[in-house]
Amino acid sequence: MFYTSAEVRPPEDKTARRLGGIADILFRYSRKDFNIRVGGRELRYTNNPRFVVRIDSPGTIRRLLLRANQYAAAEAYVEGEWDIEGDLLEGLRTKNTLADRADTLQTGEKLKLLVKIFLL
Amino acid sequence: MLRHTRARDRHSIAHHYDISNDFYGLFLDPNMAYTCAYFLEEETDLERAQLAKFEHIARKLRLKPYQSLLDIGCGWGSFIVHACKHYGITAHGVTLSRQQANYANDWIRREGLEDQALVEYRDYRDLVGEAQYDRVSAIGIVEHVGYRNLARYFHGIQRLLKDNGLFLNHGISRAREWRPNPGSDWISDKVFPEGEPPSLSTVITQLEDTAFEVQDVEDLRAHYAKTCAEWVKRLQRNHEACLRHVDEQTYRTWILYLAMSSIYFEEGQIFLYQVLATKRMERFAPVPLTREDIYA
Repeated sequence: MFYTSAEVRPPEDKTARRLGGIADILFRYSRKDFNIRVGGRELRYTNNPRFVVRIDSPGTIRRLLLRANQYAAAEAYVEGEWDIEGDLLEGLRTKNTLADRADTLQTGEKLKLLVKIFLL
Repeated sequence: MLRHTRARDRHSIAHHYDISNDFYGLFLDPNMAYTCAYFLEEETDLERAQLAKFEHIARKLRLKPYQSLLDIGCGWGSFIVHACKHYGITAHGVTLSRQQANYANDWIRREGLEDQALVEYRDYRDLVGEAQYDRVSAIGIVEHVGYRNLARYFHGIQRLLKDNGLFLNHGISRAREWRPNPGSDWISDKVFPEGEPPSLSTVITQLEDTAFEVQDVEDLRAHYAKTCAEWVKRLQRNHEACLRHVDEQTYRTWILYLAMSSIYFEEGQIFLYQVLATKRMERFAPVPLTREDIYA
């Protein structure tokens, strides 16, 4: 479950592969019991997800990661730019995983993230 | 510290509670209780848990027939109706939401309790008189009062309560070290303006400073996490119906607000305390020796 990378669909799509790379860094230490959909692209960690994070576009991911705070995330949720399908509370608890992860990111990982974010 | 003038409070309360009674009806239980429920068992449904909460409070207040109750911030009147029906008391409720006051008085009439109960659209600061009530309940109010007005709030209750009276304060508290953060800013900007839940120690200190004696304190944080999670489920189930009263953005604002509140209770960032107090007197307080009667 840990250290697995997302199965990216469509596999030949460069943006999908970059999104997969971002997710793999952010969720490196998380339980991978969920999947992510970004527009028509899919990042799959499991066949049996507890919830699916649905984000409308790579642009939303870029914006939310570069200005990562709960206020911006809440506004984006209200506008429907992202959503949780399935267990909403379980999905929202991911915020802690992300906040904890922000503290453990190594410089190399941060650079990789930034490059991928800007290439989205 | 927020100003909490009468005008601002009127505006804040109207913003949160005058949205539409029908909208609240789509996620609250049939008795329109918009406060922490009390789950006797993990699987208890919301309606029964809300009634159990009112029963729990009525028992803590040791309500007896013909006593007079003041319910500050009485909402849609659920506790007043429960207490009048089951304990034969007389009740006076005040709320800063006109929609709630109208709803409560209609409900009181439907139940045939108009000789026993009255709900008014009125600011708690405008209640006059001394030693008027045997019992005072404030369920989900202290978080709206604001730090600036806490002393006044507790002084007012001390003045209105009879000597042998009991006062139950049921409200949200924040941790002592709490500081504003982007998440809480969003909630106060978009959903719940000017909310200032005081820490438990602040509530206790204020009670002590206004010559109250604290009789009992109970934390119901786990119950509030469950209550909010139930509200989220009901709101989600009624998504279509909600859109007849509010737009999609408002619906999503409320979903997120209730879901995040559930998580904040779960994580111990906010708490729900019931504090029972009596007036400090040079004789024994008007409560039994033990709490056993609450559970009898």
